[in-house]
Formats: sequence, C-alpha cells, structure tokens
Amino acid sequence: MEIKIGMDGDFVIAELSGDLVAATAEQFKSQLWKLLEKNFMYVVLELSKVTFMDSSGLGACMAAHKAFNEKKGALVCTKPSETVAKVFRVTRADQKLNMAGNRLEAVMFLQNAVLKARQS
Amino acid sequence: MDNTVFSTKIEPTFENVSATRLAVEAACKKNYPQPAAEPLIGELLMAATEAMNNAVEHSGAKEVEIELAAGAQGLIFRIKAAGKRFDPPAEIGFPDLDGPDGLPEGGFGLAIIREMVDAVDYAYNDGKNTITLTKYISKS
Repeated sequence: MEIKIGMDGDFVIAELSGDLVAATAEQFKSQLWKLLEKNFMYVVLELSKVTFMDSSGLGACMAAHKAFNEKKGALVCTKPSETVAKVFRVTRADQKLNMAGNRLEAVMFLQNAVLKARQS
Repeated sequence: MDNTVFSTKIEPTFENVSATRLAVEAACKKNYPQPAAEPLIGELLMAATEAMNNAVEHSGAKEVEIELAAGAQGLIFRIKAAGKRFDPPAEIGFPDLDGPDGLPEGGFGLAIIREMVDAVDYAYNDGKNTITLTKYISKS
C-alpha cells in the first residue's frame, strides 16, 4: 500500500493505492495520525486505487474517522472501487463514514465542516 | 467430483494472507474466466481473506493449509489450521454501528464471511479447525 499526500487549497488529499488489509492497516493509521499530529484536520481520502479492503482495513477507516471527529476535524472518503464499496455497503459503514462521489463533493463537504467548526 | 485447482501451506502471517489471496484469485479466474464471474470471485476472496486473517490472529498454528477446488456448482475454498476447537456463535451479525461505544473498529470478519458466500461449514478433526466456503458460480 502507498499513500500519496497532496494539498487542494487548505485540505489534504491522501490518495491510497494497493491493498488496505491486515498487513497494511497499521501503516495506514500511522500516516493519518501523523497528519493529525501536525494539525492537518481536514482530509480527503481518495480510495479509487485501493485494490482490496478487508475487515482490518475497514476497522482502520472507522478508527481514523473517529480520531478526526474527536479532534474536531473531518475525514471524507471518495470513489471507492466496487469491490471496496461492497465492504462499506454490507457492513453499513457507508452510512456512518463521510462518503463523497468525487473530489469536488469531498472538498465542499470539508468546507462546510470548517464553517460549522467556526460557528460552534 | 470436485477438482483441487490450487493448494498451498503457509506460515500464518498477514503478508502471506495477501500473497495467498492473489494466488487464489488467479486460480479462480483461470477456472471461471467469464466477466460475469468476477464479482462472485471477489466475494469469495473477501470471505477467504477473513477466514485466513482469523487463522493468523487466533489459531496459534505454525502452518495453515489452503485449498481451492472447482466443482460442478462453483468454487470451494478450504482452510485448515491446528489449534483449539473453534465453534462459531449461533447467530452471526454485523456489529452495531450505533452502540454506546461509538463506531466499532472490529468484529466484522465472521459476518463478512457469512454474507459473501453461499455456504460456510465449520468442522474440527484431528486437532484442526477446517472452514469450508462454497460460492456458487455458473459455468456458462
């Protein structure tokens, strides 16, 4: 698994490729936690190049979602492949995680999250 | 008759699970090359991966045996690992996402196995747990 980190305006774009599975879940978490430590609180997680995800990968996404929420940030997932989307769907995780159809939707979601955080 | 189309013995590590999944996928696709079979093979691989992960995490075995057979009805994935007897809970469901502790980070494996294949069989013989997953796939 690889994570390419880039920026889109104020937001981090983390593009995953390869397998998000038991063998790679810890690496995934440690990279995302590093972003939080550096106060990058708003992240788009692009999943279109993830080839396979198992329950450990799903658990890592859940953990990351919670960690960003706890720090008053937000993590939004985009464009999982059908194989990966199926795991989100059958576990109903897609109803709990922030999911966006594309980068633009994801960025708009994060802009809203920033506004809400400022108002509260 | 079911024909074994792939078999291997692995040391139970998560890295080996990933490598074995790829080998099993290749064997599945060789036997069912039609595009319509692809999503079904994908579902079998999800269940097989969870079963292999469980063997790595819980069996304590030094070696895990993996076998894939192609039968008249579809694909049969079998995994054997020495260890204490494992009896699956009578009811297997997905973890509650709305519970008091918030989003669960685990506990999805058995439910994914049940959801993704047509039959799951747990057996215990000669000190080994055997899990057999059957996925129906039509040849045409």
